[in-house]
Amino acid sequence: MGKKCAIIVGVYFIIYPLFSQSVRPVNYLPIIERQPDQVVVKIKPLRVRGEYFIYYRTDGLDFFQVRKMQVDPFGFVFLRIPTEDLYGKNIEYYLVEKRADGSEAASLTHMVSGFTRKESPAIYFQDGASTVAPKRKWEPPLNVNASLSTSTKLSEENDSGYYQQNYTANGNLRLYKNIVKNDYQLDLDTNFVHIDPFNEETEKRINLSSMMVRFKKGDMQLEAGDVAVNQTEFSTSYLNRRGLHFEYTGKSLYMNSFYTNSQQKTGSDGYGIPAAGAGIFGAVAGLNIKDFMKIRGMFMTGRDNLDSKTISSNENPYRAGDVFSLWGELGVLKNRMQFMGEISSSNYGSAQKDEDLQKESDTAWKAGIKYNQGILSFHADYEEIGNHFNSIANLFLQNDREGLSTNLGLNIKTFSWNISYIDKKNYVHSLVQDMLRQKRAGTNFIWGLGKHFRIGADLSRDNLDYDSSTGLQTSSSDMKTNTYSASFGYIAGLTAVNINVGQTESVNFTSNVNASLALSLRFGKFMSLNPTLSYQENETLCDGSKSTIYNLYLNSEITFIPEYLTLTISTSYMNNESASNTSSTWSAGANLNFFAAKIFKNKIRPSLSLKSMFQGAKYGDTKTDSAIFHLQADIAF
Amino acid sequence: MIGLMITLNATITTNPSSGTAYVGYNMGFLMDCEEEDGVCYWYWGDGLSLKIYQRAWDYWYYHVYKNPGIYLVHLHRFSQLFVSCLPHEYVNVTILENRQISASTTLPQVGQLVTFTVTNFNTPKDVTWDMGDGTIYTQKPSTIAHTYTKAGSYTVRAFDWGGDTTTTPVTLTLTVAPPPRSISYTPVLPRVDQPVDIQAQGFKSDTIDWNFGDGSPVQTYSAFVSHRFQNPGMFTITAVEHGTSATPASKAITILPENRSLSLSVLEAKVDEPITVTAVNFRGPLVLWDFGDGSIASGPGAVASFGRRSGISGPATMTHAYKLPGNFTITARDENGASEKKFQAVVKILGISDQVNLEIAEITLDNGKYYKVIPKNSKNIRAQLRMKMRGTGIVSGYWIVDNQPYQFFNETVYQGQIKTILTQEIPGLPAFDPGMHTISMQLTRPENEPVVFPILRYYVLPYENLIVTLSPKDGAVIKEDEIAKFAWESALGGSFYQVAFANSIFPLLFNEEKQKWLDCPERFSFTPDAETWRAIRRNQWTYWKVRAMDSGRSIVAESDIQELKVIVQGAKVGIEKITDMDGKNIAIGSGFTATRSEQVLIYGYITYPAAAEYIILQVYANDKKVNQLLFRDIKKDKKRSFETSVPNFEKESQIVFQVLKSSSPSVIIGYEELKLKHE
Repeated sequence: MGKKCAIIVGVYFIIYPLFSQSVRPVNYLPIIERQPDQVVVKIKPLRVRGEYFIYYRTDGLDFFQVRKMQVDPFGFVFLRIPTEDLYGKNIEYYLVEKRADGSEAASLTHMVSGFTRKESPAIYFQDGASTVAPKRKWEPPLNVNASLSTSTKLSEENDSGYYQQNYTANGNLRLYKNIVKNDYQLDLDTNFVHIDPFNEETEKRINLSSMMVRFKKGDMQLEAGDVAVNQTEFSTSYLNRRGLHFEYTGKSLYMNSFYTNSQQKTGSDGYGIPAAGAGIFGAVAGLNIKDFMKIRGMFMTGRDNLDSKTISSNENPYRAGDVFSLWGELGVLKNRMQFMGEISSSNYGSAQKDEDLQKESDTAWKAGIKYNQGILSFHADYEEIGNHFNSIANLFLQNDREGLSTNLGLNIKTFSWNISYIDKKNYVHSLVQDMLRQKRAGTNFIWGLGKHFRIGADLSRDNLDYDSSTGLQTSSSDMKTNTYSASFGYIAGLTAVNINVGQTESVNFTSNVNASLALSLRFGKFMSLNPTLSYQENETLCDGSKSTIYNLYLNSEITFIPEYLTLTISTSYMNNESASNTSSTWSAGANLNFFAAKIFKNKIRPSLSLKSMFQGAKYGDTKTDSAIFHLQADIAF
Repeated sequence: MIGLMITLNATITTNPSSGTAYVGYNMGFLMDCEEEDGVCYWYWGDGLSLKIYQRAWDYWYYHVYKNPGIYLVHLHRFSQLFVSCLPHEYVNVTILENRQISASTTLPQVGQLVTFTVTNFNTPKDVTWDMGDGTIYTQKPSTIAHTYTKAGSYTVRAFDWGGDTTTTPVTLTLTVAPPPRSISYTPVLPRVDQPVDIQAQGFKSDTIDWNFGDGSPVQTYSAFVSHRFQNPGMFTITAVEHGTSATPASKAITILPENRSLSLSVLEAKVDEPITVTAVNFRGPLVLWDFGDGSIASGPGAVASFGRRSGISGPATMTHAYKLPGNFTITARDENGASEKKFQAVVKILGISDQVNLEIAEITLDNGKYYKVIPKNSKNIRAQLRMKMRGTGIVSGYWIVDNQPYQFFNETVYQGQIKTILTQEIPGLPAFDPGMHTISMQLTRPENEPVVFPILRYYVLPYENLIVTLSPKDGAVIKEDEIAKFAWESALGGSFYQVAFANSIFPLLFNEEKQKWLDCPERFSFTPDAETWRAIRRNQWTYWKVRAMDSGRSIVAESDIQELKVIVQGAKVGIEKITDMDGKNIAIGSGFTATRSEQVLIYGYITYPAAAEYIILQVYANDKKVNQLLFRDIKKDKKRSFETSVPNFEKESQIVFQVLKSSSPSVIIGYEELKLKHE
C-alpha cells in the first residue's frame, strides 16, 4: 500500500510538469466495466468541454500509456482497454481533460485490480544499456607511482634473545611511460624498491625489482629488462631473467635473439646487461610456411654458477654449455592435427669448481602429434634425451631418459576429462644408476556444475621397476605408487570454498593421507574471513610408525567504517607429531588500520596501522614465546 | 731488736743477679736470711708457687718461666721462727722472649710451599703449630712445611713446652699473596672435538668469561671448564674475571687434526646383506650409532629390527643389514653421543624406494621473480615452487608467510617429472595488510633434505585497485548482430589492458593458464573482432573480465567478473504505422521519424518462428520502460499485433522494442529500434 501511495505521489510529480500550463485537479468518478479481454473506463462529465485522455499502465512500467478517449452519444467519455496482452493483473490510470483554451485538468489516480486471473511469468532480466567509454585523460611525460611503508617497534618481548630491528622502511618507486603510436610503441617501466630490514648475505637494500624498456615497430620488438625466454624443453624453459631480447615475427620469417642473465639476483641486477660469467646468449631463426608449418633453428651458449636469489640446489654450481636445436610444427586437417619434432645437440659440463668444468656432447630428440576435434583432444610424444645432454638455460631438464607420453582429453562444456599414460626409461646410459622403467596410467576430471560448483577427481597408478634389460628386475624390487584425490569447489560472488582430499600410497613404503579445507568468506562489506585447514598423515608401512601434521591459518578483515577503519587478524597453529618429535607453533596478530585515501580524494593514499603479533613454539619440553608491537605508516600515490 | 734489725736487711738474690732471663731459663732465687726451719712459700708470679721447709739459709731455689713478662716474685714466710727475717719479701724478675718463628719466604703466594722453623724453643721436638688458616699441627718438630690455598694475612702460632697451647705462643704474621693468573689445560695435545679440561688459576673471581679463540661465542663459566675445539690449529684461550676490565689471561693451545673416521666394508649392498662399519680412532668406549633407517637394535652379526628411530650405543665396530633400498646415511657420535660431532658415511642399498632427492628447486612469485607489488585485497599473487627431483615419492611441506605456517602441500612427484607447486587460489595469499610481506617454504618430506629456501617478498599497497567496467553492464543481454563495445575506467598504474571471455566462471576466477586473454589496443575499451564475437556462445551466460598490466605484463588491477549473454534473434518486430493521438498517420522516416506530437501511437506486430507459451514485448523510450505486453500461446510465424503509445517530449527519443522469450532468466529473442524526433 505504501508503495502504491509513493507511486501515486511520484506520478503527480512527474505528470505535473508535463501539463504545467495549468493542470487543475478534477474529481471524476470513473465507471469500470470488466468484460472478457477488455476493461472499459467511462466517465460522465457534466459537459464535454474538450478532449479526454486516459493514462494507464500495468505493473513495472516507468511511463503511462496514453489513449484518447471517445465520447458516446449519451455523453459518456470512455475507452476500451484490451487486456488480453497486458502484463500483470492491475491497471493504474488517471484521466486528463484538455480544453480548447489549453488548460488541463487531471483526475486522481485509480486502480483496476485483477483485470485477469491469468498469471504473468516473472521476468528476470537486467537492462543492458550501453555506456560510453571514457576518453583518454592527459598523461604526464613520465608516470610515477610511489609507495612507502615504515614502522617503528613499540615493544618486543621474547625468550630467544633475538630481537627484531627497531624500525622498518620499505618502499617502491615506479616510473613508467607507454607511448603507443600507429607505427611504433615505446614502453618504459621500472620499479625501484627499498627493503629494510633485509638479509645482507643474500639481498640488497635498494633493488631494481622490475624493469622493462621495450621498443616495438612493425613486426620487430626490442626489449631490455625482465625478459621471459621460453622456446623448447631442450633449449630454454622457465627462464625469466634480466637481459636483452630482440624478436622479429614476420609472416614468413621469424628471428629471435636474447642475451640474459642466467641468475635471478637482487640489487640493480645489471640494468639489463648480464654479467659475463652468468650470461646466456641465444639466437633463433625460423620460417613460417603459410599457417601450417613452422621451422625454427636455435643456437645458444652460456655460463652459470647458480648464484641466484631464487634457487636452492644440490647440483654442481658451475655450469657451461652450448645447444643447437632444430624444431618444427606441421599442421594438417585445417590445423586440427599437428606434428611436432625437435632435435637438439648440446655440449655441456658442470663442476664444483669453475676450473674443473669439462664439457661433454650429447643429443636429444622428440617427436609428437596433437589432434583436436571438437570435444576430443589427443596428444602423444616420444622423446629420447641423452645422458650428457643438458641445457644451460633450462635448470629443470631431466636427461638420460626416453619414452612415450600420451594424453586423451574430452571437453564438453564445463566437463573436462583426461586419460594419460606414460612409459619411460630413466638412467638409460648412467654408469652409476641402473636403468629404471616407469609406467603410469592416470585419469582425472574437472566438472563445473552450474555457476557455483566444481568437482574434480584424480586417480593414477605408477610403477617403477628395473628395466628388464638390466637383469635386475624382480617382482619384489618394483615400486607401485597409487594416488587418489578428490576436490570440491563452491563459489558464489566473493565467497568460495575449496576442499581437497587425497591419498598417496607408495606400496610397501609409505601411505600418505592429506586433506585441506580452504574458505574465502565475505560477509557484506564488513567482514572477510579466510581460514585454511591442512592435514597430513604419513605412515611408514614397514614399521607402522606414523607422523601427523595439521595446520590452521586464518586471515580476516573486519571493517568498522568502510574505506576508513579496519581490523585485520591473522592467526596460525601448526602441530607436528611423530615418534621422535612433537612440536607445535602458534601465532596470532591483530592490526588496527586507518585508511585516509578518501579524505584526500584518492590523490594520495595514506594509512596508519597499529600492529601486534604474538608467537609461541613448543619443541618437546622447550617453550618459547614472543610478543611485538609496531606502529606502521603507509602512503602511496 | 738487733735480730729484728738483721731480719730487716734480708734480701732475695736472683741468678742471674740482674733478674732478667729468657723464657725457659732456670732462674735461681736465694733467700738471704739466716733463719732456719720454717715454712715458706715462693710465689713465682706466674701463678705457680713453691712451699718449702727452710733448713739452710743459703739454698737456691729455681723456677722456669714459660712465658715472657715481668713477674713479681713473692716470698712468704709463715714460721714465727724467722724472727730476723721479714715475713714477706719481693723481687721483680723480667723474662724476655728469645724464641721466634721464621718462614722460608716472607711473601709467599697461594699454593706455594712455605717452610716454618722455630728457634730457641724449649721443646723443639714437640711443637704445636697453628697455621692461622684453620690448620693445626700437633707434636711437630721445629720445622714444618705448609701451603696456603687462599690469599690473605695469616698469624702463625707455635706453642712451646710440649705443644702446650695454654702457654703464650710465638707468632709470626705472614701475608700470603694470590698466585699469578694462569690458564692450564689437559690433555696436553688434544685433537679436534676432544674435550679439553681448562682451568683458570689465580683469578679473583670464580665467574670467568672464557674465549676459546675458535670463533665460539664468549661464555661465562666457572674457573674450570671443558671445551671441544671443532677445528685443528693453534688457538689462544683467554679468560678474564666476569664484569671486570682486567687484562685477560691467555694460553695458547694446539689442536691436532681430526683423525677419526668411519670405514665401511662396502659402499653398496643389497637388502639384508650385512655391512660392517668401523669407527676408526674413536675415543669411545662406546659409540652412538644411527644407521639412518630408523633401526634401534643392531650388533655384530645381528640383523636390524625396525621401530622407533633412536641411536644405538655400541662398540666401535658394528654390523648392520638394511631391509629397504635407498641411500642411507650412517651417523656415529663418539663417546656414546657425548660428542656432538657427527661422522657420516653413505651406503647405498640397491633397489627401488620411495625416497626422492631434490636436485634443484626454485621458488618465485608468479611473475617469475622474488618481489612483487600488489594492491590491497588482490588475488593476483601466488608463489610457486618448481623442482627437479630424482626418484618417485611424496614431497610435502608448507609455505611460510610472514613467519607463520600458511598452507601445506603434499604432492606425488614422479621420476623425470618437473613438479610445479603453487599456493592455492582460495583464499589466496594474505593481502589485507599494507606493507611488506615475506614468503618462504619448508619441506617436511623428504626428511632431512637440507634445503634452505630463499625468502621472497611482496608489497601490499594501501589501496585496492579495481577496474570499474562501464559497458556492457553486468548481466547485459546483447543481440548477436550488434557487437558490443566493452569499456572500463582506467586503473592506477595500468599500462596495458586485456580482456578475457569464458563460458565458465572458474577459468577467470582461478586465472587458469589455458584462458585466452585479448589485448586491448584502445586501452579503455575493446570491440571484439568478428572471430572473437563468434566464439562467444549464444543464448548462454558468458563471463568476462578486464585486467590492467604494467609493461612487464604483471597484473596491477582487475575488474570483477562480469556476465553477459549474446542472444540469437528469432522474433521479428514489425512496425506498421505511427499515428498521433487523433489517429493521423505520421510518416516513418528511414533514420528518424519526425513529429510534433508529444505522444505517438505505434502499431506493430511480432512474429516468432516457433510455438511458445509466452512472449513478452517490452517497449523503452530513452531507457524508460513505457509498455510491457504479454502474448500468450504463440503460434509459429503467426503475427501478433500490438499498439503502444510512446512519449516524444525529448528532442530525440530512442524507442526500443525488445522481445523476451521466457523467464528465469529471460532471453531476448527479438529487437528493434525506432528513433523519434520532436519538431
